[in-house]
Amino acid sequence: VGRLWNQDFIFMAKESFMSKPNNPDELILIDRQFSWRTAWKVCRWWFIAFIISMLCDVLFANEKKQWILEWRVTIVAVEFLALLFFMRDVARWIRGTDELQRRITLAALLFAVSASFFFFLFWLRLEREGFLNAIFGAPIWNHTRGISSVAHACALLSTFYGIGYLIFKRRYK
Amino acid sequence: MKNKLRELRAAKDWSQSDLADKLDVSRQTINAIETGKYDPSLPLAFKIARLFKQKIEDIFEAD
Repeated sequence: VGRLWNQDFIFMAKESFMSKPNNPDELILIDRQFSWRTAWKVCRWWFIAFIISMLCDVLFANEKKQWILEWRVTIVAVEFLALLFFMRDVARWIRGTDELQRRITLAALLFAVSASFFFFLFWLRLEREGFLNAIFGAPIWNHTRGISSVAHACALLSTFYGIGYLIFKRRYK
Repeated sequence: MKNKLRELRAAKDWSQSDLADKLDVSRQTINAIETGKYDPSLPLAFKIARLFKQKIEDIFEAD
């Protein structure tokens, strides 16, 4: 009887503490399962890096040139420190997904990194050849300095991650 | 790889969500295994075999 009670107790304890695997659908903005709570938990440092970069590198890019060197270096350090924390949170979150979801998520991440790198190179070449200035006009691209900021990289990565995730998820549907 | 997961689950009268909870995986993973779109890892295959008290080769069969 004691052994049976122990088994029941272990089973109940396991059931009550057992948590469901992390669901990557909760991070896809257009999915109906999207959760702001999960997005904040995983991507809060991404949001912080994005906002700092958006303010300092894009909106106040010209004003920033007047700031002292120490201040500008601190901003860059904060941006990249936030990205490091974001990578740590993503790694922890991926560890909590189940094996199929992990496979899909890692494939989508690889796709996002490669596609962003390809897009970045392509954009840089077009910019260097003067194509973008001819199409959009010089002031815009001189002001934002192309896609060289953390904010642009974050936006590109998350867009390609979403596309990649939806593509790879379809394979197992 | 073919498998008998759907039949085994139906025999126990479990839904995909019930089985997913017992195996600590998502319902999508159970669905992908049942439809043959995803082959589970060895640890998960062992877990499934242990849950249904069968040998792995009795549940999973190579094409």
